Amino acid sequence: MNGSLTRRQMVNALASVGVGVLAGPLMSPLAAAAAEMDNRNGTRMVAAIFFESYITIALRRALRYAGDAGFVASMPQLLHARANAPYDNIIWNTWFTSHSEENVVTTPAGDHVLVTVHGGGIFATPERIERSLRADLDRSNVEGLTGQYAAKITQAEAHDVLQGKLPDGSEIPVYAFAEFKRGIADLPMRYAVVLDFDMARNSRRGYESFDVLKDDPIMIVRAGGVEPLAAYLDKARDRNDTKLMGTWHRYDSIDPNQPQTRIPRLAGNKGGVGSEGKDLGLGWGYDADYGITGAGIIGIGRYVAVAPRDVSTSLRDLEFEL
Amino acid sequence: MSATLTRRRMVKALASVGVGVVASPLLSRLAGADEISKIADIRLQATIIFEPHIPTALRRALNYAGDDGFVASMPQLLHARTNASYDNIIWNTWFTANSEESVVTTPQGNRVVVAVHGGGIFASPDRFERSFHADMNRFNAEGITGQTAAKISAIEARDVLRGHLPDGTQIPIYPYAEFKRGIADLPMRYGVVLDFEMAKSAKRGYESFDVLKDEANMIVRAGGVEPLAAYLDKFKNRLNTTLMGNWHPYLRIDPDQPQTRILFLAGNKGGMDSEGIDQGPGWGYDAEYGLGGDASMVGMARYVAVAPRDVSTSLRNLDFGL
Repeated sequence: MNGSLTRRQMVNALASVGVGVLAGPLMSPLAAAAAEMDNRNGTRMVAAIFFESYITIALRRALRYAGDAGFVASMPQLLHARANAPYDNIIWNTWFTSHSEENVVTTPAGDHVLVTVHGGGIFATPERIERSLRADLDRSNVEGLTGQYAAKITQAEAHDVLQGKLPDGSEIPVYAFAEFKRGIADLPMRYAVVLDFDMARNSRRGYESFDVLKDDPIMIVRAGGVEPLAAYLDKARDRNDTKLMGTWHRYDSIDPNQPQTRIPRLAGNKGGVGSEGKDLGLGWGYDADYGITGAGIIGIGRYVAVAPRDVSTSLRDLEFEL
Repeated sequence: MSATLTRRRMVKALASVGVGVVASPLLSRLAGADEISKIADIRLQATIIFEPHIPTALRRALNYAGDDGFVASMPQLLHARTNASYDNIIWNTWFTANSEESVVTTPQGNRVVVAVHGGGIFASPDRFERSFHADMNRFNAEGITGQTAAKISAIEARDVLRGHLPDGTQIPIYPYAEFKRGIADLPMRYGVVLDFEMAKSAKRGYESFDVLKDEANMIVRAGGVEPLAAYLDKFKNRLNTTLMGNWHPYLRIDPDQPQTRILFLAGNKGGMDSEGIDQGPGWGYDAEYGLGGDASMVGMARYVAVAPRDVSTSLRNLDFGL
């Protein structure tokens, strides 16, 4: 996925694909092949859920589905989809893993910062996740997992991501939080935001009012800006006319001298039960609608991948009943 | 593995195998070795199987163990530690036990914890997969609880209480009081029933060795009073410490939901900070936290599998240097 492709350009390109005009350089492999087809087909962006009990496999399947012309949904994209979907859609009624990441990095000047990447960063590939999962897990190893299941990253990876250089060779724009908060015109699908670590650490953790959340730095970065955050929070609030929503991070309990990465997750359950964190009783956990969190890289993954598909040739609605 | 095979018998049988006499019905697959003209040097060989995905790890461990070996339960792991030097890897990292604790309601309505050593409801990777791939909706009777235990069916709960396991094995089930008094010729695979309130009342955290020696969960997990005392003494003497960790989930779960967790034995290089004091930020699963029974059923695993192998034909010590 081209790092300079903006969301607007993508939407425009995909809209054109939706009506069968397939000529954008942004979508070259699938689009070019489709253009050679004689029939006017019904190609449009189709989203699919990829759930696996092993996150690496989930990401691998999602990336395969996305191909070169699609994408695996980042946190801003998941929230955008929710903000524009009815509450009975599955997007509101379960939890998802985002194709976003939060990296704790020390700058060359010695400052701790949080570098959030949307659309695939250091952990854009299953292989990189595997590398961490299969490293010697001894605490003194610079590879592997932290005691709290974040993935350790190398100094070189940390240095590079701070400059917008990703392991797959992509260069992505990196915005300072203050600039990002003011708003970025034509924000690309894949980009990074740098937030001062102390600001991240002091961000809210727990269930907070929607008004407070609208100005919370971690929430703003995770949502992809002030406006999309506000739109999402309004929609989340109106679902069950609630007053609180959850926001979670570990930045007050980690060692920031260890460069490390977490993957944001979007909570959800059927009906949005208990989304204010009250009276949940015993037994609740990951199945609570706890809001948004930054999770470790081990365990289950549920990604959304989006890619152009010719729906006119799908067997989805064929009649199989005899 | 026969459920009635006692540890003593197993050791005797394997000792006989170790000197090349291969005639035990317990080791029927090795009977063919009689036909081998050379004298085989068959010994029990333990190996570590690590995978970032529990079912994959268990599948590999069971493959290694075959019909004549076993995947180590918590009592077996502790027994190995008790008889090993502190620089052995068994002391210097964490392990997953082939032991499980199920929260069950009896037909009379009493809540109990049924601990099974040597493989119980979750003796097979397929059973893990069934939970992992179930609909994760909270109201589904299958799947994973919010706190990442595996839900079990009412039938599984009822059966394990009577010693009926899904693979058709019948294992002995001992009430805790009887078990605490000591069982002669304890088999490798068995269950112990502990009153839920007793399990719940144990302190969750770091405790003195004297308290732990009489703690019900610890006694069950260690396979009895004597092996527990031997392990705790060895643990205490490692670094001349006064506390060790003991963890369970029973204070925060809904016991009306039948559920199972597998047990983990903590460990790190040198047994650092095994008293839980002054750990600083960043510690977690890599801490030497003692015995854990409240870990997630989803995630990584490190099993020990033990099986007879002909070491005389191993390439382990061949000279490949040019």
